[in-house]
Amino acid sequence: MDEPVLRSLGLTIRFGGLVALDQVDLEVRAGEIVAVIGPNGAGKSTLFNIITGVYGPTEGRVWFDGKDITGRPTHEIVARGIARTFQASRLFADLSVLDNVVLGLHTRTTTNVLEAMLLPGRSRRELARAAATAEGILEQIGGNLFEQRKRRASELAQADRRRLEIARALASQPKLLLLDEPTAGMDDNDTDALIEDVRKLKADRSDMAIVVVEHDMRLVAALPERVVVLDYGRKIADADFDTVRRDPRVQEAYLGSSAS
Amino acid sequence: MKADGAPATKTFSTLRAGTVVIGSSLAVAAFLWAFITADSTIAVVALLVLLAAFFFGLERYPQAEAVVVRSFAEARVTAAIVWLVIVLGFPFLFGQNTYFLHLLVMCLIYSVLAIALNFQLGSANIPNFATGATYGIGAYCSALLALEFGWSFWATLPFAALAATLFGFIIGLPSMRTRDAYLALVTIACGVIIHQLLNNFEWTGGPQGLIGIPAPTLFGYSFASPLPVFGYTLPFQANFYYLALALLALSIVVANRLHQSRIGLAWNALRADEIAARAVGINVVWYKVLAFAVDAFLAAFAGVVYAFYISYIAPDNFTFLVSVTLMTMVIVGGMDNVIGVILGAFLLTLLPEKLRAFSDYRLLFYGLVVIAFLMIRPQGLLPQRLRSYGA
Amino acid sequence: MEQIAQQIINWLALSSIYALLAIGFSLLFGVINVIQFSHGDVALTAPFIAMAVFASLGALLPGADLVVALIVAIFVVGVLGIVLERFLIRRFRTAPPMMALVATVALGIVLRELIRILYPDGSNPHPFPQLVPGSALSFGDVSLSWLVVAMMAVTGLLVAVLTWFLYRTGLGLRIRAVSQDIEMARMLAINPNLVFRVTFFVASVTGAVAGLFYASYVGLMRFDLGIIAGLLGFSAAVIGGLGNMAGAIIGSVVLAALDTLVQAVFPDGAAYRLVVAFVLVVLVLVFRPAGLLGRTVVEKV
Repeated sequence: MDEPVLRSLGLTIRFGGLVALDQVDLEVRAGEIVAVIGPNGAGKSTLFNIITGVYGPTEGRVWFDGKDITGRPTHEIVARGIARTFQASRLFADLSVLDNVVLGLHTRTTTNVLEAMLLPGRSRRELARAAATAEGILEQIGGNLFEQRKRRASELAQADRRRLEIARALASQPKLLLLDEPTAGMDDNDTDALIEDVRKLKADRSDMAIVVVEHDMRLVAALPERVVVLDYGRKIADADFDTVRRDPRVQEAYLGSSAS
Repeated sequence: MKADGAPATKTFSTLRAGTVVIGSSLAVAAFLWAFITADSTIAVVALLVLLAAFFFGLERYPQAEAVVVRSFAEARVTAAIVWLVIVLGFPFLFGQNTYFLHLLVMCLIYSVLAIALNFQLGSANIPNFATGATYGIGAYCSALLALEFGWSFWATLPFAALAATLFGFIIGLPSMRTRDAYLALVTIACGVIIHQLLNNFEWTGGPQGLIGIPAPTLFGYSFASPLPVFGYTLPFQANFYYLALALLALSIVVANRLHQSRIGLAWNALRADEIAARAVGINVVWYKVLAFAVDAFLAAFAGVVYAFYISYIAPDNFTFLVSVTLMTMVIVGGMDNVIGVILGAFLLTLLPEKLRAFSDYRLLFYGLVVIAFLMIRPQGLLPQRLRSYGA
Repeated sequence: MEQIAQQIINWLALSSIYALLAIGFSLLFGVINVIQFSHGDVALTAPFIAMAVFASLGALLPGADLVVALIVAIFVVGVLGIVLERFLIRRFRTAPPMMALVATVALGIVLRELIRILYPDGSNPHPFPQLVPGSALSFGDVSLSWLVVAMMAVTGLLVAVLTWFLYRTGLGLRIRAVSQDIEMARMLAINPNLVFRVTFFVASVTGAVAGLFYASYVGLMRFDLGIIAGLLGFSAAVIGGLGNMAGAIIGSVVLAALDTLVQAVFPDGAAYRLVVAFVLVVLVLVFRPAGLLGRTVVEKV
């Protein structure tokens, strides 16, 4: 097998006395869909935050595409090809839906400040092209985001907000997409539509790896090839869904919370 | 402005668009003329009531605004010609009245400063209480070069801008580590430091400042001499009116170009959500520092024009209060809306002059206006608009 | 030697003024999460109110004591704090920080201008009496005035009372609860508005004491002293680390030391004291953004 697109070794982070992640090793291969599950506070979002450089790990390293990205600034990591969504969606609320996706293309546009001032035609054309690309992305994603592209992002319904975040993340054409609880606040229909969206996405871009943090077991059963279970910051299982489901340690971790 | 009631959906002819453009432009010019020449408190208050009624109407009938915006988009050439005529011909309306012309020049200089600050406050929502200081650095730098080394106005311009931009970078650097109130404190601190140093140093003339800055010349023509046009002679202030006008035009062009590029969009992203901005790959630190630098660059230009116009500068022209006044202009006019910002600058430059009877209450008035706006209409008179792309 | 002793006395006096102001900033920031940039101006209204009350008292009942006027002034400033909180600052608690910032800076201007306009001949400096006359000790040229002794004693007392109040009373516990997590506090049936009111009263009263000391120490009151006092007090709180009382005190001691040192060592040091103080603030913010004692807060994502 070739080099995994994402690899972490011994990732550990402490906040004061709290060990949020403890010696987590992770490998994600190109084109793979991996789910990260675990009870609340297991360190799932923290894992994303370390991978994307929001926090620096106390110990351990992260490699992306064969390069060490541990502790690099977020914008640099994103430029290398990792895109993410947030657990509580973080849209650019006072900008239009279209602007949000155009911003997702930030790493794929190049105009600098002098060019913007001296070559306005070029910079405007670049942004117009980006807007056209963004409209294409909005058309592909489920729901009617395209029709709502001129509304402010703050005016969107909850499910559409989540979709828009995914659209924004996709715009950068990442090699690795991190989805943090994409179904939060969605009803069953929306969740089904989302599963469909991700499947379609997979078909279009077979080399893109997706890591999804999720609570909704329907999605976890339907999509990923592999499920990683975190509990109190430790990785306690890493296998396909059926194996993980039968793992006694996983059952113990979940007992009392949401039974799978 | 004159086109209320027309449904915005109707396709309208070029003729109609042209009429709307000409009508509304002339209305704006007439209002400004009336405001500048108003000589009694009652007249000023009446004009303010009219303005308030206008904005109230705009809020009630948004379709009227849409018609005006659309007309300007459709009749672009007409709009350009009309405004060129208005701004070039404006000084002729005041005959030999140098005071009115002086007010206009100050309005233009403050408009440039407000646009400069708008890059930070409006586009990126970064507090900056040091624009007064960058303005001062531009002014002092050019004045010193002119007085000590005999440099011309034109030669000092780029150096003053460079010095101020460097200063902008320096006060921008702490924004890497600090935000919000802390960053505000840093900018206040930098503003106070600059003011105190200008006050203390001997080579800046101390509290007395620098006097006798020579008027600029262009091909042997001195800006201090009256301006003859078509057998008509305008007071020397008209020279500076046109100079400041050119600078304002430059600022508007720079502001628009940046706004319509990925840089303006990235600043807006910073304003909305810094962490999300990072997650789409925006180098947050660089864009913040950039906002400081662009602000400083334009503010320095304004400072140079001011120094050579007044020919006398002192530290007290560049205090913390100047920075607060500029912030007021941006907030009142409308953050991230260039026309709104210019409106704010004109309004808040003219009002204290017009309400001379209350000149003792000028600062009190500023403070109350800011608080009132932040509480009642935080988006300003003309709120920011959503972008539209290409085609 | 005498020089040094005198400077140490100056240092202690300045430390206590800065500390009283810084504690107010810290307390307000901790509880309402708004930087009250006009806190210095609120504090410096106290000497004007005291003198106004003193003057009118003197007309009513001759021979009235200055102490009454001082107490009235301190109380009025406390109420002023409550009023400002209720009608202005509370509205900005949840607004973008930028808005609250500009609003409180504007509020400072309004307060300063009101003093200037309302107080008779308010544009000019007025003398302010030495609250506690005489000197406690003197060796040669060095004298330790009773005023400085009183300042330090009152500051110490206030810090002790505040500590007791915050850590040993039910109301103090509620204040700390709100500053930790307002939503949680709400669920525990703590009325945040009451907490805001109390916090503003306490901070403003502390500030008023600082304002009176300041005016008395420099011997005059000026309508525009509030801005500098506010900036220095806020700087002290930031240097020490916002939101903790020990930080505010340490920040004040450091800032006052630097301030005194600059004035003592350089011939024209007085002209540069603000420059030096603010350079220190900028350096602390850049290299230790959470202040000397503050802990870096990890932002929740």
